Amino acid sequence: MSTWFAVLEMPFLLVAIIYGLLIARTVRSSLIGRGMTFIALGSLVMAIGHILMIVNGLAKEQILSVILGDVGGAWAWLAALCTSWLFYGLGFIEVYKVLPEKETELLQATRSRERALKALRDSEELYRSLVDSVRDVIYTLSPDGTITSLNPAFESYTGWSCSEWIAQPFAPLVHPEDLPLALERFQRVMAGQNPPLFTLRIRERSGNYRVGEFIQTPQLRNGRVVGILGVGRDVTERIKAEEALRKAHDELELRVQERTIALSKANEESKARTEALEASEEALRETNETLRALFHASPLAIIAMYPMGIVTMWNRAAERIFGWGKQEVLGRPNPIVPEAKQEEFHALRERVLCGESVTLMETQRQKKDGSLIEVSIATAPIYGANDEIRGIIVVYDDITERKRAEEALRESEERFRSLTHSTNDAVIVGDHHGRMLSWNQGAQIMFGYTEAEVLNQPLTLLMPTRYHEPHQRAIARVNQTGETKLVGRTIELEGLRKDGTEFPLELSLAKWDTRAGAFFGGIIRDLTERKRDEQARARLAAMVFEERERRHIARDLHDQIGQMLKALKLTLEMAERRPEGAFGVNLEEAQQLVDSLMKRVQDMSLDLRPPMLDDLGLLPALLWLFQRCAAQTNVQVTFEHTDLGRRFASEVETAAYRIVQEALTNVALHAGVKQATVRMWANGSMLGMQIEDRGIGFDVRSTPVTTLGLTGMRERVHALGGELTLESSPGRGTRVTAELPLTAPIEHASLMRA
Amino acid sequence: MSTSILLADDHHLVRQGLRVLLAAEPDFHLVGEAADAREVVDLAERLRPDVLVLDLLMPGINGLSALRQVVKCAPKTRVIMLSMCSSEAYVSEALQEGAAGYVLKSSRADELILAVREVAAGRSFLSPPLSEKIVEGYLKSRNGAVLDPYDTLTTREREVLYLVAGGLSNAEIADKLFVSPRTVETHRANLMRKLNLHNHAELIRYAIRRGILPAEE
Repeated sequence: MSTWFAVLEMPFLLVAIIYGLLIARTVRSSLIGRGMTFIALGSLVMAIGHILMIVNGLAKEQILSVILGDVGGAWAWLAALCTSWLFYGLGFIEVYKVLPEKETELLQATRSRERALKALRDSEELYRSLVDSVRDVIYTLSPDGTITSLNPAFESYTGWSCSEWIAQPFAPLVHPEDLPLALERFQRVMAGQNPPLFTLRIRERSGNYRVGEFIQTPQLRNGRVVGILGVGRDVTERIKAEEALRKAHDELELRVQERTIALSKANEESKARTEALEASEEALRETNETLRALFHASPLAIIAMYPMGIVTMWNRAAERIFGWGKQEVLGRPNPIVPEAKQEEFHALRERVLCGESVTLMETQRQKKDGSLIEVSIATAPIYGANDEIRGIIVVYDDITERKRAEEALRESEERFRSLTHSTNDAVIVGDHHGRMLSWNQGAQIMFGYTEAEVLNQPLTLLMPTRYHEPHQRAIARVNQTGETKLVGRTIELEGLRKDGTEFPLELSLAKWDTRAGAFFGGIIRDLTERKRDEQARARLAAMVFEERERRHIARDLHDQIGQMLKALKLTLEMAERRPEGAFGVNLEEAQQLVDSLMKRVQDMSLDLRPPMLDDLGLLPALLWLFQRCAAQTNVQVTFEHTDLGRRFASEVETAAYRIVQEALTNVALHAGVKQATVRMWANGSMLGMQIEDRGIGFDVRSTPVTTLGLTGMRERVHALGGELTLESSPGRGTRVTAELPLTAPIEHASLMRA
Repeated sequence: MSTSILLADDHHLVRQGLRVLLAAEPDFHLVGEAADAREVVDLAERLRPDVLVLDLLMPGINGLSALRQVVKCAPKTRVIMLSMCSSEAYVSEALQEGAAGYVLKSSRADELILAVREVAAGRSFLSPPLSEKIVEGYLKSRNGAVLDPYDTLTTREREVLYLVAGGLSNAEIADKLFVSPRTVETHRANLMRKLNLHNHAELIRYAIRRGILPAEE
């Protein structure tokens, strides 16, 4: 029986030995290993004992008693038994002495690691939600200038996907002109500096550029710059951050899940694979550092609160914008909500706690000094790992300046509007396409169009057709080269009213450039009245001229002819009193007086209108005039002419004669020289004349045309449909050129008397 | 042989005075008097006097045109122009139109008698202050210096001429001179008319001839 037991026992023993040795081998380096070796040795001794028992059974003999005698054998058996027990005991003592100690250590290591991970995870969640919810582009660059990370804002601004640019150099994204600046800033940050804000143009996928404001800070590890963290704010336009936030939340949840899985996996593996855990931890820390740097570098105020409104985070921008230091607000209720906005704030908080994100809400917040500032708010809930809302994150953009600028703009526009509306002049603003953007009361009265009729219509609407083409060319030229001809000058043109009539106008043009292109402002004055005034003045001048002539004649008649007649009368009276035959002397005297009288009357008649002008024509009359001019005023005339040996229409001859006469009078009175040149020419259609001197001249612009008898000349020429040009400048002499058409209809017969 | 004389003056008193003066000469024979230019031509044609004493300034058609007609229809009649005006213009005009004598009204009475005798004898007569020489001088001055059409251009027209010659279009010139193309067109037309140029080719030729075209062109 016992034999069979022994045989059945054998496999068990074998297993015990092998198992003991295996454990001992596996954990031999540790404390457990030693204990297990003892246990294995104990099993070995027990196994030897059992083998002896089997041999005894088979041999029907007590082997040990045979060798050592009955007493010795019994003792040996006992000794083997005790040895076996001893080894087992030692083994268990070894194992259980060490085990609790070892177990605690392992557990603790795992737990603290778990806690650290949890803290990191929480922190990352927070920052990650920041990164993904801010509307700024956040990116990291490696020391060689490749982009290592980009946040979703990049995609929404530029249309590129992040994956297209991650691991790519950043330079192709930057406008070529801005590249030097971008590289300079890159190098400065790599040198460990914190250079100020700068602006770059960033290429969109569509090929357009957006303008971004950037701030970059070095990422330090162990005091070395290992990369750059940058924040770019799009200043081209605001985008719908709401979308970004929602997306960020989805992504966040995904991340949290991913991270949870990754962490639990790491946890499971932690006991065996410490390196993997460490690497993961390192990655998390890195991310965390990045996010922390971002949080502090952000130009936007970012704060986080518990659901009840206790502030948990407060970045530097928040300190700067609101004036509250971080230490003053952490752990306290949010101090920046002004009294008037409390209700709004609570309502907002309720919405966020219901899981809603709110962006671009404009409201007011209070600074520490009590002053109010305008802010734009973006806010969203922060989710914990189990989808519970753990807090609220709020991003504030200080828009006080923008508001003020808007206000100022509105005010200035208002002022401009009231100004333009109160003036009688037409004030019209056009863009670089030549379209009208603004139209005031004066313009409406002047042109007859209402504002609604002309807005966005081309400016050519206000011009006679002949100006259209030059206008289009000018617009094209300005747009191409920026070169303007009329800006800053005042020019006279004709305008076209709604009813199709033309009227004279004076235009002064201004141009200003904006980002949206060039704008033009024109101030237009209706010259109809002024022209009418000018004509009236000219007529008046002509009347004055005529009156002067009459006075001159009257004086001549009275002073000279009258005196001579008086003398003649006296002489004849004296002759009458003399005795018969003795009045010869008086008659002689009388005859002389009559001679002078005749001469004088003839002169006067010639001065008024030389008969040779009618009798002999223009050329003899002019020759006579030049002679007389030399005799009376000492001005010598050089006369050059062609084709004058014929008669012209009487009004043309008269006008030509008077123009030359008047011009020579001016030379004699004003030029200060005794030389003049008269040129006269005729052809099939025109009679031209030019009177030139090399005298002192005058400034044509500052000398009123009413003086110098110029008005009279001009009137004569215009009445015949001709042209008169006056050229003069101080020190350079004067040149009057006139051309009279030979077939022109006579406008004013009144001008022909003289 | 007596000299037949026709008197023409619109002033009655002047005619009377002259009649008295001339009638005193035995060999003079007054055949008629006329008070206006039309009458003069009629009488001269009918009476064919040897000498016509004609006032220069007569109403109707003036004395000079009467002279012209008389010379045409009564070529043998010698005409003495009687005038208040000593201007060479009249004198030369009268002589050119065929007058044989020119007597100033302010001259002494016997001068007219002398003039009638002289012209009747086939010679010419001018009152003493006048002379053939002065008339010649006048005729010379009348022809005057030759006009260079270039001088008649205004400064603007000269500028336009230079720019056109330089190959610029009206629009380009307008841009350069700050005026409208239409104004340039006007200047251009004016200067071409003054210079008697009819097309661009002539203008270029003119510019080359005057040395207006710059050397490097």
